[in-house]
Amino acid sequence: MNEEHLSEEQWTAALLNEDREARTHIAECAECAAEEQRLRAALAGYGEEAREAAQRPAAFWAWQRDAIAGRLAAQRTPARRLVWAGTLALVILLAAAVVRQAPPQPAAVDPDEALLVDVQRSLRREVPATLAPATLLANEMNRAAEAYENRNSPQRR
Amino acid sequence: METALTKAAAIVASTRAEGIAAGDFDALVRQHQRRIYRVLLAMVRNPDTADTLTQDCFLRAYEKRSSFRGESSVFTWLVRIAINLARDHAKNRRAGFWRRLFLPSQDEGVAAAMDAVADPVASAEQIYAARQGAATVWAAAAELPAQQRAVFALRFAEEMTLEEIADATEIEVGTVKGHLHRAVNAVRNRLATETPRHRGRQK
Repeated sequence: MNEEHLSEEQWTAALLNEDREARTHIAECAECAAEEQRLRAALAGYGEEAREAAQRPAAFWAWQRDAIAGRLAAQRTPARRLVWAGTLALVILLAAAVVRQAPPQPAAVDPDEALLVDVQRSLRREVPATLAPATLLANEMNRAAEAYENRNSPQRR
Repeated sequence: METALTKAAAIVASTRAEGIAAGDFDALVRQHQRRIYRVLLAMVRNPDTADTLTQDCFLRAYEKRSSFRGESSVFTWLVRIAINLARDHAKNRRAGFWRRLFLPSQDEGVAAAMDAVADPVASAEQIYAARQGAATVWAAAAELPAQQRAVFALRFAEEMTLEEIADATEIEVGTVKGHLHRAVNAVRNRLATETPRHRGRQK
């Protein structure tokens, strides 16, 4: 590398107009001035070509905006449908879960009606349930008494 | 009567406060589509790809519009999205290297554009030099890594400031300078080897 001329770093700084020392050198050095001119011309050509290549008729930009709007609409439509379908599915699932998990509610019982049913059941029995053992004992005693009388009756003698 | 300028100012004001409203989006596309397309074309060098990526850029911007808080300009924010898309596209392209190897070069498009750019009263040698110089820059830029190419294009095609480039690429200004230095050096080297006047003059 020739140290009389600009270093690589100085070239970049010179092109960015950031290095006063480099600018001074270019102003005094015909060789570097020529190279800078060629570099700037090439870079300017690149920039102009980039802008020129991007030139499009108005119809192209209108078509591009329509394409963007169309793609946006296409993106939003499935999204909305998906939201609706998801909401509907969620409601159905929740309803099914509520129906399956809810315990069967006992029918409301009127206390007066319950008392009446108890009374009717007691009346249908021959004896109250609590006196059943005494009833059995009484029946047994009655049968024993009848057997005794049958054995000691005059006809039999 | 509302002018384009007042409408743009209203968009900027509203975006700073609450992100970009859906209703403002068409005006935003209208305002920035040309420049975003230009940035992308400088990066990908293919008009169809640049068009597709421009559409993708605005779609992604729409999706993220509520997150925009106005720390940077809308254009810088859009450029940031565009650069990320171009970078993703470059990654995907690498997979198709062998297919592209047999496709015709797109340098004809560059040459045709340079015909339009060249000064009509310039000499044939000047026109040739201008065309060759710009084509050499394009070729050198095409071989740069994606980040360097983006920085180079934003500086020399879009003429953005270093601060704007740093904002758009989400890197420090010093790193932008580093990328520019390497890119300019690559361009100088290429010019030195490919342009007759530069031969034997490389530093």
